[in-house]
Formats: sequence, structure tokens, C-alpha cells
Amino acid sequence: MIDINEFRQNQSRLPREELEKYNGQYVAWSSDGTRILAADPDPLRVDALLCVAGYDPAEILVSRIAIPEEVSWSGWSLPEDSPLS
Amino acid sequence: MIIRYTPCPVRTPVPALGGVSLLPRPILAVRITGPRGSRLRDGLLDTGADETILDSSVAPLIGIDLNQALEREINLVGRGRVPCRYATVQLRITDGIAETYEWDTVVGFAPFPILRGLLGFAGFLQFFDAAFRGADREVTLLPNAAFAGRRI
Repeated sequence: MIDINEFRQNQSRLPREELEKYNGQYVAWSSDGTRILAADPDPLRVDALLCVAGYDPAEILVSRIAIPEEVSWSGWSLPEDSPLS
Repeated sequence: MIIRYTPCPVRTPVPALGGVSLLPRPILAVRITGPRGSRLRDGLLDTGADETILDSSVAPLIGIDLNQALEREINLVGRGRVPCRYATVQLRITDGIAETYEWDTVVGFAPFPILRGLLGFAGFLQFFDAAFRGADREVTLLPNAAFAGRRI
């Protein structure tokens, strides 16, 4: 694991247009945060894709992409497809 | 441990922040370990959350059967009461440089997909003294007397 703050900086350099391609999906990030290794709407499928590509899913940060997010008055941020959205 | 806020694009500009549409949020990667493995997921440090709540999609990946888990209802602000399942996991956080902490705790699993976990008081913030330094857009976490885990 690299410096987590450096990881975040690298993540934030990914162009928004690039991230928007993955909207609503779970994405797996490279260990330095510069690349997306795998993506799918199903997190179990992301796991499988990582294994096939030779990565250990336990070592890869997976996050869900929602761009833009809603401004929230609590910490809850729900994806658009959530039954509660 | 110092964690910088992550700028998150939001749909509507925030007036009190000068109309910016990039909202800084204290997001932290957390390793969640269960009986059959671990996964890394993002969580939001949230002093308004009473509990630590994770996306339930991680449960089967680490060997937790939520069908066998304790269930109770929680109140979701603006949305009423929803059922939540609870299980014991190990959480680990790191700055990737010098500080890593891990501990066992009970967390809730949301009954619907959530963008990122909520790192609330029970299970997370109870173990740390947190200083949210808004001007610097960073938060400092320091394990406190209640922390019964390990520093690695």
C-alpha cells in the first residue's frame, strides 16, 4: 500500500469523463490509484474479474462510482438504483 | 494518522462553499476481515452516524452469512426505519506509511447498496480521537483509551 493520501491524489487526477463511464459500477483501483483494473455493476463479478487478471481481491480497493453525488445532510449516500433513492 | 479529505463531485453547488461542486469528504479506505477473507472498501468518517454500517455486498466475500446475523431496525434520516444485520468483523486502517490499526468490532450491514460505508461512533469513532481540520481539509485520527486493538 502506498501513502493513502498519494493514492487519493492519483485517484482525483483521473478525468471526470473517464470516471463517468463507470457510473453506477463497482470499480477496482490499481494499488497507486492511477488506473481502474476492473469494473462491473455486480461487486461479485469485480472480484471474479480481478482473480482472472491475476490480482488478489483482498489487496485491491473497490469503490462504487456515482458522479455526481448528491449533497447529503447525513452520511448516507445512496446509489441512484437504490430502492430508497 | 492524517487523512486528507477527498474531493467528491456533487450534483448541486454548495452555497456556503462559494458555489463549488467539489465537496471535500473525509473518506478512508478500510480493510474488512471476516472468517474467510478480507476486502478493502471506502468509508466515510461520520460523527452523525451512531453506528458503523457497511455495504452488504462485502459480507459474502469475507465469509459472513447475513441470514444468520442479528437483525434490528435502525432509523434512516428522512426515510424511516429499515432492517439492518449485524456481525463481528475485523477492521484495519492505514495511512500507508507509518500507522496501521486493526481491531475487532460489531458492524451493521445495510439492507440496500450504499456508496460507501459509514464509519460512525459504535465500532469506529469510539476508538479514536478525531480532529476534523476543515481549513486544512484533513482529519487526524488518534487511538484513544477505548481502543483495544493493535497498532501494527
